[in-house]
Amino acid sequence: MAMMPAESVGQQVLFLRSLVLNQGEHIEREKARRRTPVVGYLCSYTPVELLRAAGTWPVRLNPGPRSIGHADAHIQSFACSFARGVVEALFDGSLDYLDGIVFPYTCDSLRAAAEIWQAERPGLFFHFLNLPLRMDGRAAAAFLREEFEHLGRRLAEAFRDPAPALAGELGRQRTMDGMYRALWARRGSSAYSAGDFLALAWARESLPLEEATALVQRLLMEDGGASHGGRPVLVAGGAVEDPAVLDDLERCGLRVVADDLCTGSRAFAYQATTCPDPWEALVRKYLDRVHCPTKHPAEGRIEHLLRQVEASGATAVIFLLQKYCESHAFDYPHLVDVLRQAGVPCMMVEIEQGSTFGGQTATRVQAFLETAGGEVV
Amino acid sequence: MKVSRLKTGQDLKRLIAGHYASAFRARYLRRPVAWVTSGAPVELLRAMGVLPVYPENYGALCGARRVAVELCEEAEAAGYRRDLCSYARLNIGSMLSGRGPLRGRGLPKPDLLIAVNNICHVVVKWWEVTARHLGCPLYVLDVPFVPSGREVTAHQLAYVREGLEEMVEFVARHTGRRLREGRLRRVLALSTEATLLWRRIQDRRMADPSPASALDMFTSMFPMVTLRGTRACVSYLQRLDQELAERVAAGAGPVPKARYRLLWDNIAIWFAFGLVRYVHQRGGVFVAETYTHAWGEYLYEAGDGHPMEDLARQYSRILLNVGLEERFRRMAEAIRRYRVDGVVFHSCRSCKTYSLGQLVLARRVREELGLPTVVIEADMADPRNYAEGPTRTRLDAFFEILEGRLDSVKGRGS
Repeated sequence: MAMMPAESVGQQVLFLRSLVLNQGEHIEREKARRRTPVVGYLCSYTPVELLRAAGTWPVRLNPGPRSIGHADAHIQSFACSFARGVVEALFDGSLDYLDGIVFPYTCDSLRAAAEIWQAERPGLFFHFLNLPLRMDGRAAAAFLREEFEHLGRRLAEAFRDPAPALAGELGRQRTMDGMYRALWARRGSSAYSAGDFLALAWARESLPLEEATALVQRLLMEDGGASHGGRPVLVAGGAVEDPAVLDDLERCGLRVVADDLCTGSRAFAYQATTCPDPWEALVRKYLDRVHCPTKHPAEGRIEHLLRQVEASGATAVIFLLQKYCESHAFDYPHLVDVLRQAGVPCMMVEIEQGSTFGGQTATRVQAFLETAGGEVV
Repeated sequence: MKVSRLKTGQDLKRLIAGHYASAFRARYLRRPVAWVTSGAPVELLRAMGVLPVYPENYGALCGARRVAVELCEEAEAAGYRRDLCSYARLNIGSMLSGRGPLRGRGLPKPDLLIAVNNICHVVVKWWEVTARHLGCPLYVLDVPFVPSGREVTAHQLAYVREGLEEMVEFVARHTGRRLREGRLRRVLALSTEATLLWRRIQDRRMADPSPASALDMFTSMFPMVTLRGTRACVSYLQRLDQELAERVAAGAGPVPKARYRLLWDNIAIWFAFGLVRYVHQRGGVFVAETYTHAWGEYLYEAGDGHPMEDLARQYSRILLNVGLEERFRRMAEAIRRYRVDGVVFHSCRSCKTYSLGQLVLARRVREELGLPTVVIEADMADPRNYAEGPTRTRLDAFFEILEGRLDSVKGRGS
């Protein structure tokens, strides 16, 4: 029996949208059936292949829209709502089903959230995964390998030795990511909305792998395409937790044809090289990928953004930036300069967990589309 | 309340003026200038004849001279959001506008940029912005975080050491200057000497009355930040130590009859030193600050050790690069040694590495050490993120708790 309903693909996508916002409810039920330990993780730099090879079910956690109450006593209001949501989830019981959690080092706010988890939840398998900040450093690969091997040793102690199954898991993930890239390349003419695509991206990181693979396979065959029209745009930014945010955007008269989001395609946009040593392959996958703004140097991402604009036919870029997210906010003025010089108009919409577009934001987006010029498809 | 200031304050003024003057002179003397973050291994640069300049210190200066807002607004107009670090915003604003408090100008232009992530991620982003704007070569030294429950591992040390070697090559490539080991050892010895003096100076504050308060120490730390590894730094600290020793002998201090010995956590609020004076008026005196103590970490082994290994270790273990467990351990040790009665946490909106996690520390101080705490929200440089009235009200409530505790101790004793 699968976790997803076995009905039409459209219904499956609807289920995914519910899964993204109600992870706990669905995963807890499925966990009881599968009897597989669930390890939550916070960002796409987590080596999910390693977690699966250790016999766990990795689930990327989405704090989602939730009111903040408990977290106020532990983390200040000037941390981003994503980090605050992660802390809130620690105390409101919604993540009690977890058997473990992995925090990769991305930014200062999530580091703090990790520290709070570590202090407040003794007994839970907790791992802080150090990552190189400089992805082009001479010793970055050796350092990352050692960090991955360290995580592997800890997983072996808590669950199962991941080494024997690692190569197989790398292959399965690689196959699925290839399908995701193919699906994303067709999204401009897809019948599905940007919110649906966001839910699909979350599904890649929270469904059991075989189900995510089957779903994307089905979509590749069955999405006949009946695009709903609108001006083609690319959305860029950090973590977008709620699919409704992207649907609100599309209702303003645009169509998202590509993304560069932490919770979108950035994690699978790059096709990793293969190598015989699975640990080396794991390192290369995470070292050579398209990086987020918390990594240095930043130039690779800028190039990726421009290439995506070209390849997708996007005529504008909408930045969706989490309030208080410093890494993205520092890059923003430069990205705007580069894009405008390339003739691509852009605008920024500030988002917070649980926020949907108010009328004012919708008016801003519509005004932007009108004044930015260009043909509306 | 009249607070007696340190006589060495005049020396300090000369040192600060001299530091910035030498930065402006450097280009005429063909001496390379590097803008560095406060956690940069400055000893390597000094040994290579490169003059380090600290935009963070410049940020403090702008904050203290109350010119931060106009500079921040320059950056905000260029698209940098107001919730970003105020040091970064005011530096970017100064760079974009060419304005600042140093003879009406900003910092002298650098020849190279060095950023280290051992204090936060923000500095890397800020330095990237700077590199793009000035077209200046940038080197980022990656120093991994040391989480609670883990020590600095051998592979982490090897990684940082490789990064240091790469940094030396970078500096040599852009300046034509080589690293001479003998000179590096001399610089490290001076750093160690300064650190030992700084520790001794801090230790003098165990006396009652404390010979110095946060007002003195926030400014006196300038040479430890910007001049570490120089003879000038050591000479200044010797004079400061002497002055504090004399104060202790005379039973003198900024608040001779202080009732409460306090600890300050986080960066100073550079534009609101009046708040520290208000604490004095209420009978409190800061006898320790985690911020000023953080500069007492740079001890290097003498002799034939491996300086790069030593540097890698020291710069990995600095306060903002270690987990909350270690931060609490260091805080608890300071509370014990300096006989602290209560802790003031400055929750600084600009500094997430320092501030996020403070609420956990505050709770542990209350629950495990039984001391009262207060959290005040402000900013180190941008007064728009600060409200004097509510802050004083919070401090008033804190002093009431302190007073109640003192009364109950007296009651038990009688």
